[in-house]
Amino acid sequence: MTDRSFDKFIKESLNNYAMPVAEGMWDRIQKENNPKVEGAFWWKNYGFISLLGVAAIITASIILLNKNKETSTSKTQETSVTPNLNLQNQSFNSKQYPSISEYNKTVSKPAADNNKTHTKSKVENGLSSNSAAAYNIKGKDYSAEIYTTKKYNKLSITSLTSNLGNSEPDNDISKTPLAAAEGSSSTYKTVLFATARQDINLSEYTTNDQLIKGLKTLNFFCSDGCPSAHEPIKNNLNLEIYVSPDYTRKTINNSAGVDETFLKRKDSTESIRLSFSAGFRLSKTFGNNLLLKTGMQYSQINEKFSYRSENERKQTTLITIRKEILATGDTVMIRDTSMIEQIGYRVKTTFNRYRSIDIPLIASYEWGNDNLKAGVSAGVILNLYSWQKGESLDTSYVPVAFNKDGGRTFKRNIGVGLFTGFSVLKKAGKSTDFFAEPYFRYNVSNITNNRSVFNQKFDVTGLNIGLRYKLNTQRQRYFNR
Amino acid sequence: MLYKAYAGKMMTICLRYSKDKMEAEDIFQEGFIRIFQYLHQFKFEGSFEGWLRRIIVNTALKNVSKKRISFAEVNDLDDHSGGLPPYAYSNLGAEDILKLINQLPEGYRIVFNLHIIEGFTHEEIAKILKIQPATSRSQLVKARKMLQNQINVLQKIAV
Repeated sequence: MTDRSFDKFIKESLNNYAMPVAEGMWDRIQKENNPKVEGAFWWKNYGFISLLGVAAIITASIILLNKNKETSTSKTQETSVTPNLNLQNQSFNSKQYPSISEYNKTVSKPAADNNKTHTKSKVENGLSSNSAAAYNIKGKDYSAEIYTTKKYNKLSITSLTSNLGNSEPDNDISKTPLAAAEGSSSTYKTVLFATARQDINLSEYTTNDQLIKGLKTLNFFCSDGCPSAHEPIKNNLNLEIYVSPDYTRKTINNSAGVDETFLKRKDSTESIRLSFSAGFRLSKTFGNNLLLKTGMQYSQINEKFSYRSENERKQTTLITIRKEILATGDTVMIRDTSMIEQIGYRVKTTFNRYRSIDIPLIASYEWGNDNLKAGVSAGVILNLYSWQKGESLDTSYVPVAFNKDGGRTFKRNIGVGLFTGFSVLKKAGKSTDFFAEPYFRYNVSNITNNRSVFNQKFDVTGLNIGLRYKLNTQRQRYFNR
Repeated sequence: MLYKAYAGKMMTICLRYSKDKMEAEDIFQEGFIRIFQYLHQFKFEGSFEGWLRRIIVNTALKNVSKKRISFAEVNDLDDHSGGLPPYAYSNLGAEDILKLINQLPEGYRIVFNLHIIEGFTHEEIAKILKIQPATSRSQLVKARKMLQNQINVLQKIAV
């Protein structure tokens, strides 16, 4: 047979040959041609949902923060009383300080001439609420306990500075450019601290800008989480590194009228194994309890695929070559071919991997002390990219490989997951906390795409174990001098 | 109904261009979606089946272009097909031929399909696959030989 006739034979054989088409194929085509109406609605858009979630978290944080600020401001305004702290002619010795009750007495009976001396030069109770602050001025110990109660949480800066200022008249804060700028309470209290500690000489500054610049170069600002004598300044930026063993729950259901037997058979060939995830998160503290966290994490779901194919036939061809000498004296090589066929079964095992890179956006509320904290977390996990590798049964019950390039069953992006967790943190070092966080991740969408004959989804329960590093602990610098 | 009439034939085409049934089904599905999408563009000027075939083949080729196909030569092709008697083919059904074609290396298979069954010239194949026409020719020769060898082996086993 020539090549031409061979080609013709092949063409004619295949040209009109019709292979059977899988059941449910028509349904799948129809489904693609007429996408469900609700698919077009904006609330089915996972990107929109994630944006909405992030916006909600940010809005809630802002509202919460503003609420805290308003509460503290309103308290301050309501109880704005200027006590007469007549400390003059008293030596600064802690043993001789008036007690709270004495202060209360003094404040409850304010002197008649209070208004003469302190009108504008006030500072909020920012030094430290219910605390004591210690100063060291030119080698002498001056300890001044500033008692504040809910009733009296504003002090006359003039009276304080006039007392402190007796030893250093040039540092009278009431003469500084900031004296009238009471609106900026944090700046004002910083000036007070710096002046009391003699870190700056107010007479050197003529404008606000110069003064602020001077304070900035000294790294002397305290905007939030301000320290007290008992507690250092709080850091507000953390790095969390964690790893988690994960237990995964898989759900499969029918999407295109495929035979239920197939789903059962598929399910019987696959079993979930221990999975894991690892990542890092940056967290920023807002107020005393609220943290917003974001970062990046890698997750891997492991699955074992075992397939037993029956009636496997193995054929072995044996070729025996022997020489035979003919009567004519010629030697002839004779090849005998025989074939052996073995019938049995074969078990094929493959470990499937479902991998993803995600961005967590999480809000946490934490409470407790420096040594031990607890917290609850909730948020979303946005998938950046997913890829899968392994094997699974196709509708003709044959194992088919899926991988990064050729896999058409699975999505490259699995959308949004909802995250919730509970965490416990234990101090492990000066700037390190150890934490454990049991969590649950619910994936909103399927891992399979619309073309697939089945829907497959994973939900993950895990235990994040890791370390939290406090990043900006240098903010405490000037208290450790 | 259009689908019922042509689905089987179109599936055969898809199987010829894919490495497994799952991939073939994907091509089939995508092809039929396109067919329904562009059905109004058919001008009744030629064969309707030809038009369908063209869309399915184009879809398959689009799928092929996404993959990196090696058009390397396979050198272990000892020619055992010479003098193959015509009756060697008589026992072969279409399904057997399809299986044998599927066993060809991907580069061979695509060139063989495009030239022998679809009737593209080597220049057209070269343009479609972005290869040299000479490569297309050599791939076809090798594919044909490999196929003939396989048929030869089958025939020997049958005897």
